[in-house]
Amino acid sequence: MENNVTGTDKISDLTDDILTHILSYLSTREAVQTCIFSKRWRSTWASVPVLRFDYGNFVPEATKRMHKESMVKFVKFVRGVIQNREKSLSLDTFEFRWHAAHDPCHCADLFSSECILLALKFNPLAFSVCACRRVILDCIEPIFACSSLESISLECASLSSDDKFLNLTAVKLPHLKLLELHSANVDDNFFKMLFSGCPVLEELKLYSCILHASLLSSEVLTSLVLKRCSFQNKLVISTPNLVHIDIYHAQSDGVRLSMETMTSLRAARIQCLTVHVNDTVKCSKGLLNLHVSSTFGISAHTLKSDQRKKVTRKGFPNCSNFKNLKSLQLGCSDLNHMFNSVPLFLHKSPNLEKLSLQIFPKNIWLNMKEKSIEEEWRDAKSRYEKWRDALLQLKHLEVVEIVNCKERMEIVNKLVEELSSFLKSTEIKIVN
Amino acid sequence: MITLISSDKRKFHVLEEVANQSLTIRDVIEDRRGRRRADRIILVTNINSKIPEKVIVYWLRHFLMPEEIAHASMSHKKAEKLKKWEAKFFDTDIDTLNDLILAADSLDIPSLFDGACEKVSDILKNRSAEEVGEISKIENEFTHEEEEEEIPSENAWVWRNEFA
Repeated sequence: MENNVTGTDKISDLTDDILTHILSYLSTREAVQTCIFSKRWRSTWASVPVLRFDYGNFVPEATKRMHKESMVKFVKFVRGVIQNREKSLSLDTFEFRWHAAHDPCHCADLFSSECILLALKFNPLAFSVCACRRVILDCIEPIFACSSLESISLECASLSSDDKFLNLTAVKLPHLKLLELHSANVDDNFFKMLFSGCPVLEELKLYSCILHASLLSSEVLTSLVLKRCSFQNKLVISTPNLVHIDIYHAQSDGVRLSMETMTSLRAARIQCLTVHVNDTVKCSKGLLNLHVSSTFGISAHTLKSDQRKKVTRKGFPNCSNFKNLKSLQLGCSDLNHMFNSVPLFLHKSPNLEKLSLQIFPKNIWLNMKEKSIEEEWRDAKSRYEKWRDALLQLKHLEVVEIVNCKERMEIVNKLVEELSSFLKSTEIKIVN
Repeated sequence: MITLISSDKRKFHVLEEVANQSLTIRDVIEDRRGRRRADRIILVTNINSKIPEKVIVYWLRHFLMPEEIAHASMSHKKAEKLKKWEAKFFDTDIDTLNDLILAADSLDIPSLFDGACEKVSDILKNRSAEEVGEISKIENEFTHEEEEEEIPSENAWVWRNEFA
């Protein structure tokens, strides 16, 4: 290499492999811009195994709406890169982000589809696309037939329940480990096709999806995240090898979940407005962390009152003991609710070491009257002893944490006062 | 205990479990297992003493990290703490990063390698090409005529797209 630069030329000392690795963290545009000024680096961009196109980088910051010039620039750039890149070189990652909001008349739909299809020809390992719903629905089949893929992430703008289902007719993804979907309408058929076509799928993440499905069943899944989803039916989750489950910010009221035996479960968080409990926690002997919170928590709120009594008295008829459970977080709407639900869990988990209690702020209560601390205390008093006894039974309890809630300082303080009156050897603290 | 010797002859004593984070060292130790103490000395000739210091600091921090991290949502705070620590650790000049990359490459420490590469890419990001040249001590190697001549051939489309 002809280099008439004196002094150290540190970065250029690195081998080509390392250089391309460094460039692979950048967006393709940045990588190309970085390269073109140096002779040595000149064609390095073409051998970076990552393509990352983000329309956002092409829009001048001030304009939020569609911008014809930048769109043309973006299209030209993407075409240029795809045409000029080393044809033989494998592709590790393909990312394509088109902001549908910038393009209300769908001018770029054809182009986006073209890019996605071209990229699939390179047999990428990781594939991540954000585009208009139409584009995603059009390309769904080729994507789910691209057998090299190890991870897929598909994202489109917000959806309504009338939107088309994500319809899979054939799935052939023998290496797929991670699937991430944003804003999709999925039904039973989708899960069935997915799990039968992806024999090693370990992680499934659904964000802002509408689930019409009633069964999610997989032998291999180890991690399941459902965030901001809405549940149209009762969902049975049957995943014996699940290690980590996280269901939070559920959008529909009265989530009905039924979790079948999950013997390897180690961490769970279920955070919904209401959970129907008699179906819910029927899982796991190995559970280490459990975080359940719902406004009405564990009391089966929507059951009729006579049934409700039954549930409360029996606790969880179907749940096995959480012998290994070490840390538990419970969120409750008021004292009555807390005194009610805490014993239910504590009787089943004798080895608990850490308990976190959280009182929700008022604004997420549903149709609840405001009560003063005295009133609340009076209402809850009948259950107080049961609650105290349940706590006293725990031999290994080391810490009780109370999550501080500014709006409900009185209750938090009251709880601390009560707890410290009978839990002598346990640390009690308020956390934020 | 393992002794690492840098190119400027400084010695570093590290616990075996800690040094095992380098796949290269782990293999070497595995090969020499059962031999005498003298063999537990490893020469790292291609790096100067400043770098092993940093590498060991990095090892120690990661060694103290329990494995639960995998379940990220549960040990969120710890993961965040580590992230902060790493950001600080990698906040250094480009030459050091460069040496760290070389060391991580030859010692085969994937997470350190990736971290340092990411930081370099961060520095390169959002800077104009001229600035990049300055950071990486590459001067614009093209004379004006050369630019006129050469650019249209392979990178013309970039040139027109980006700078026209």
